[in-house]
Amino acid sequence: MSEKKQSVILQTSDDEQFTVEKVVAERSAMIKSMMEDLGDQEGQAIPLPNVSSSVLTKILEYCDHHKNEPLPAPDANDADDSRRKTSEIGDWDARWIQVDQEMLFEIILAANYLDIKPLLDVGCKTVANMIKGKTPEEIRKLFNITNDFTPEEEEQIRKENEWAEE
Amino acid sequence: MPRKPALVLCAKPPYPPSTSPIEQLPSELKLRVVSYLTKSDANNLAITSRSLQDAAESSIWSTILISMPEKWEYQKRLWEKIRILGGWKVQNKLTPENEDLLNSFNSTMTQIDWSSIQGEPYWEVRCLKFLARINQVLSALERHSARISWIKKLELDFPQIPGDPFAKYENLHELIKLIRNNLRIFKIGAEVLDLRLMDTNHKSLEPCTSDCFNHVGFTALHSLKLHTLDIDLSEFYRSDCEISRVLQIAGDSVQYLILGPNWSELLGPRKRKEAHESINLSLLKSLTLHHLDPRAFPAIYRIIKAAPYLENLSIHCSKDGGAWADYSEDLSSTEVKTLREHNGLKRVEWYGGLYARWCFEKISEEGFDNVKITVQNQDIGSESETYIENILVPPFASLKVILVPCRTTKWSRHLAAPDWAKAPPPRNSISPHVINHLRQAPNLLAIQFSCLSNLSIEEALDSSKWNDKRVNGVLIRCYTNQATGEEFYHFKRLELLTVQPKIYDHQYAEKYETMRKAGEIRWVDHTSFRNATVPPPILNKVYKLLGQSIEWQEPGRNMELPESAWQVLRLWRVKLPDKGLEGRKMITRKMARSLQ
Repeated sequence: MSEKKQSVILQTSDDEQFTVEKVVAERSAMIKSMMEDLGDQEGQAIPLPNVSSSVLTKILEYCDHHKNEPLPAPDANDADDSRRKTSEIGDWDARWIQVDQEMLFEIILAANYLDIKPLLDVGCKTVANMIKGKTPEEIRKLFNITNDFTPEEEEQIRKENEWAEE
Repeated sequence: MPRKPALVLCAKPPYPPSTSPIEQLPSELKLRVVSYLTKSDANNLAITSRSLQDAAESSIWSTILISMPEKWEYQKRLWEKIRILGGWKVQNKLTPENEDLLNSFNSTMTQIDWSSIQGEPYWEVRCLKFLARINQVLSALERHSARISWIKKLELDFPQIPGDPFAKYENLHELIKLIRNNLRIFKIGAEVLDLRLMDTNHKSLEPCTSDCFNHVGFTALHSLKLHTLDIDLSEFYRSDCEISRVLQIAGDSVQYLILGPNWSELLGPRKRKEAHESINLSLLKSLTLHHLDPRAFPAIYRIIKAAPYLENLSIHCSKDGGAWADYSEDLSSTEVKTLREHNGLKRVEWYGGLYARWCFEKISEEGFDNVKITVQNQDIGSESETYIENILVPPFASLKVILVPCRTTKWSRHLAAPDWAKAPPPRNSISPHVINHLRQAPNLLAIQFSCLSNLSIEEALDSSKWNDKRVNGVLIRCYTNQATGEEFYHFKRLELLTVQPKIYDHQYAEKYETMRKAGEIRWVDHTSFRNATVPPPILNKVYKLLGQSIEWQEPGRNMELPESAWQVLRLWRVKLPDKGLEGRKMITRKMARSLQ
């Protein structure tokens, strides 16, 4: 029986269908629970209305590479929070996530929607690494952020935030 | 990894100005990104735009530290300035000018020239600075009230300034009122500065007998989200926190309770009966007690009794533990029983000097019902220690792992040292007394040295990581013949260091590194069958018959061997002389070899 149910069909927002190995699709806690809910219904496509086919292609690449790793515990709590924070991005992941910004943020959103915790961490860490060591002006330029503070406000906020640290 | 995303930098952002993707992330994802930033990076992000300010400030304002560190940022220049201002008198108010002055010294003082400073004015500057600090935080919170909800942790060093004219705590009250309902972690400490050494009359450190929580307006009503309460007063500090009120605050929410006050409040005979009766610490998981005085023990039992889900008990006695010398509580009393028979207690940590250890040994002699892991600081000389001959093995059935985190001088164990304690046992043997101890701890799987004290059982038993973590230890296997009662003990000891780092010379680190890089992990076998060390050829035969690799890394007790393997052991053993099981009458390896 398990022989038959080795793959699952995913349908993206642009109506493309992907036939995916079950172990790969199970990286996504959301798809995993959906498969459990659907049970053994053959050929039933799982709709992913928030994910486009280009992003899904990219994410499946990630899932395929990590398919043999243990899944994170469903209720990962604060205890492994610190472990999550300290661990660096793996070499393969770092190469894999070298994409343009649009794709990067779409990957993060999709990882959040699909509930792939390790991928979400890789994405968020990548964004954090982009911010690290930059001045506010550099950050704005990098992410195309419009400054809606007056210089006085900026100075004020900086000063107050420094007080938090003393 | 910062160089890798650099490629991403080059990609041209295709967004019109209003749709920066980072600004459009849902706030939970913004918070996640920010959680990887340092505070200074978060501060840079906070002032890029309004839509990012709150998320960035979540990390900046998660912890508030209001303290009076011993080495306050301080500049001689400032000191001069203050002196020029005409001396610093108690009567000085916290005027705006003073406050600016105090705020202005940002760079850290490197050296205080104590001789040039009269204690009292210096103390007052610090008190003023403390008040200025509260005002700062308060005004920042008032200006942007979203910050209030980020504050999860407050560390407050509470200065005692009784009778002084400017100790108006209104602002502190105001601050705590803002954040108290949201606090998860509250650490309250007190000035540790040892002013006893200074020959001025420092009434400013007089104990404040009312409890400090009341003082700052934090009561049981406000602790609903609180999960960690840390009262960290110095051993010498005379101010007592009223324990019963602390327990009320801890009440139904706190999971981690750390108490470090002077325990005298618990000691008076009149307090012993009445207090804490109605306390219910229904979520408490971990209790840590610092500077524990043995006379407070009965009170501790009551706290433990009120915490049905307590899992970890960590007791830190004073260094020499001298106070425990006279401790003669009846250890079979119902109070001690509360501790022994606690349903949830899985882990007991016990730190302290010789006398305190005696007490632990006395308590553990009778065993605990459910404790699986004990952390004992024993007299371990160095990382090379891997013998378990000198380790106290508390004799009870639930015990699985002993962690020995501390290093102190070796061989100073309190026992009148018998022969076997004076030196490590002969290579590859197991002393008879170790086996006697292990029989009384029938589920003990491992003893680990120089380890982290907070390891779980699983982490401690994962011996594949031992080498990387530079811990040593012993894995225990015992095969039992159900029919005859024969026992075959087999230990694996990690020979981490061929070099004995008893003296840390410069070569040691180098040699260790080379070894580690080569991935050289050597395990040493220690065996005992009827008080004789099993030589390798016999050992190999036994494992061949068992059908397992001799290079096992999973410990186990009460394991089975096939009869044929027992037969191999018997046939070999019967050729050796039997000198009984007492003392160190080991069969030497030479004798064992000659008879193969």
